[in-house]
Amino acid sequence: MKDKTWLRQFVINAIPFATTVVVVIFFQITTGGKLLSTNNIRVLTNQIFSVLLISLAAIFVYAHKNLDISIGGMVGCAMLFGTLAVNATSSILVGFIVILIFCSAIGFTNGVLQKFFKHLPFLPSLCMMFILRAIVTYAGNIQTFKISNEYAVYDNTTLKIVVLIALAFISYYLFDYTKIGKFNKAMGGNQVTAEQSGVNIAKYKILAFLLVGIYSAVASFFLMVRTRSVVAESGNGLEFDVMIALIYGGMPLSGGMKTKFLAAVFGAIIVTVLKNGLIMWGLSTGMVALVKAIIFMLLISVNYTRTKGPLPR
Amino acid sequence: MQEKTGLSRDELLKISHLDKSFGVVKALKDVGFAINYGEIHGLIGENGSGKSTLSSIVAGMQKADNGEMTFLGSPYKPENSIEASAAGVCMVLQEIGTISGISVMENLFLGNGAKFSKYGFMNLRKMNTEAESLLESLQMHHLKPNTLVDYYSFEERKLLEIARAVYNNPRLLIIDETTTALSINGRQILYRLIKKLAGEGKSVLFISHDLDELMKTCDVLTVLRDGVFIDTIPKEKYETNDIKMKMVGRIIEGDYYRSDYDCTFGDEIALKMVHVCTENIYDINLELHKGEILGISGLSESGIHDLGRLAYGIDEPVYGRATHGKDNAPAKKKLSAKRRKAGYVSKDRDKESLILNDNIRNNIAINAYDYVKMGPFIMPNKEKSYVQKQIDNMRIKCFGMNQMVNTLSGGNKQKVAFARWIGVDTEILILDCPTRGVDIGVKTSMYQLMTRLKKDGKSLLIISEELSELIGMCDRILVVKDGKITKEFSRGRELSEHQIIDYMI
Repeated sequence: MKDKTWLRQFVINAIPFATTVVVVIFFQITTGGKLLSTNNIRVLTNQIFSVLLISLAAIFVYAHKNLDISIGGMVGCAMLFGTLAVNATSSILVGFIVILIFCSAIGFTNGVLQKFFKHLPFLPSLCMMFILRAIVTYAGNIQTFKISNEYAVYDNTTLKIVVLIALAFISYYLFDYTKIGKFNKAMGGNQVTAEQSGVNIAKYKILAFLLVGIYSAVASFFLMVRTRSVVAESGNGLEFDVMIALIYGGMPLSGGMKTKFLAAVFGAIIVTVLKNGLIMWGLSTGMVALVKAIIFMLLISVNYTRTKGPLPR
Repeated sequence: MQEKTGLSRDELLKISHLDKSFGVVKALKDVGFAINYGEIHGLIGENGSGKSTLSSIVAGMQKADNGEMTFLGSPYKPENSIEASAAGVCMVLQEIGTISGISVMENLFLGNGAKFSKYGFMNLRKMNTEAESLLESLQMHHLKPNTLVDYYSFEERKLLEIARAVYNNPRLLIIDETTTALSINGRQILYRLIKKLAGEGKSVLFISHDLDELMKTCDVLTVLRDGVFIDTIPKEKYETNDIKMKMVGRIIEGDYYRSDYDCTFGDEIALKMVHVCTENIYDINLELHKGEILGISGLSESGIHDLGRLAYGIDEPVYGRATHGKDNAPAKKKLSAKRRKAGYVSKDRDKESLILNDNIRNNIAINAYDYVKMGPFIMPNKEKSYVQKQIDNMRIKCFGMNQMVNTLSGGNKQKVAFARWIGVDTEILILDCPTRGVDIGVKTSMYQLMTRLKKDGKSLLIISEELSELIGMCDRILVVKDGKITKEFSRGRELSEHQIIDYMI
């Protein structure tokens, strides 16, 4: 018996990569080469950075068939508290630690709450989003919180790339070569099976959300030193950018073994290049959002019509 | 109307030259036979022989690649199961097919709602009366129309499905492996119903693994092997060994259970349950020793399945405790496979014991990550060679470890569920209906495996509704009735099913 599935598998795996290349080349040509100009690459790096970084951790949550909707609120709030800490102590290190502790605590809480919402797993992070968003909006409406421009030195593209690559490697290994990734994928496949095999469901869910917290902390820090101000809209919609990126990258919303690490990488690149390229074409932000939504809808419909239950044999 | 197509007068459904493949797997090859009016037609074959594929094509759930069917004298090509049921073909599925969260009557009249609605409102009273009379006529009075289906057991829901299929007044009723989910009582209801339908001139296609059951119930038996039609045998020519040979393609000896009557096992206690009580179970005390096979028998609603879950530690007892090993470690849910002494294979293969939408590799390796690690990292090469070893060891029929589990046949799926625990050298194995819906070939290898495990000093707790299996395999058998242990039997040549049944009912 010959096994031809590898070829099909290879083609399926190659689709996100091929799409990325096609999208980049397409916009490179239609924008007259402006997309990959030195100046725009810097802009692109900044735009990709947060979405990609958080997506690298969000895959763990998506793998066990869940969503984290609190990301945007968490990042906004972390920037707010980080700014307050930096202004109070004039130490960027303290600011970073505050952000890290805050985001980890939120991620941990999201994970712990999972235990109580077994049938509506996205509910805890939804509540969390409302709370955190409210705090940022409230604070942002009182005044704009700023840190001194001297901290702009930390908004260094080389540093960001180094951090990004390092964290990508960590995430890759955790996802494909440790129990954290393997068990989260198994839980997405069939939680009952995982439980009966002795997987500590609560623990691995907490770890997944905790990772999102930690990666969001790094993203918040770099956003803070780049914008150096916190307004009511800080971090707004980031969770949906992450979701769109993952789905563009080929992540199934049903979780399980088909969740791929590379979905985060390619998805973040595709969604950012698309947004950037469309704006270069002269489309308004509203139009860009509309185009994104249409593509999103198409992908979701493909994603769902393809997965049919097994037929009796 | 039959004359037109040149059919014989008696033929209700004629299947000819049916082909079906799933990718490279050929599930059906040029299959053809006919079902007559008023006939109870049995369909038998090993796992993966194409029984379910064939019946699902007849019921319109999938389409054949090639071939024709003629039903009631005209060409029959259902696009989906609704069309099939409108034409008069209804099917009761192997796995569960009721909708949770709605009432019994709503499940019964699924798709027939229009009959009870007026101006967009449902006449619930009318529905209730109709449901009551239907259930009454089928002798299923213990099902109450107004109750949520969720309150009923797997078995009762199965009966409900049968009732639903009958309500649609089919010309041909297909019953796929349903009896494995039914207790003796439920089976009696089903047999009576089948006879009644046949008496009314309707036909039944009955699929089962239980040869005795088929020989008792059916007028005609059709044997499939590896997707090929082998023979149709009328009742006068039934002969057990002949049918078995046709199914497997080689001679099977009558006895595939343990041949020894040597009931020695260690003194060391592997699993102990002391005064265990829950809502369905009262004061269960049992000890499983090292190297012992202990059987638990009982009707399916007697609490035997709860007992398995409690023994493993998925459920916690309200009172009393279950412990593993000589150090009396409590049976806990959250223990990694490595630290765990017990393994558990659930009765519900597709919903509980397997990740269907995943490959064989991940399904087997899920317990073994602690064994193939270096530091915190799982080594892919070690993992692959471990999985390959288990596949070879269990002789799982597959293209490779990356094949999806949902493309495997029932017996091979069960082998995957077993392999997960055998590979990590589990001391205590709790098996809930280990051979449910599994063919003779796989059964034989399962029994050999159990005997080997016993020899290696492992302890096995087998929960089963099949008495012959328990009598054939166990050192001791505990009989459970209404959540209580009523009797203990020791292994012996004289032990018969009748002796045990007396204490079950």
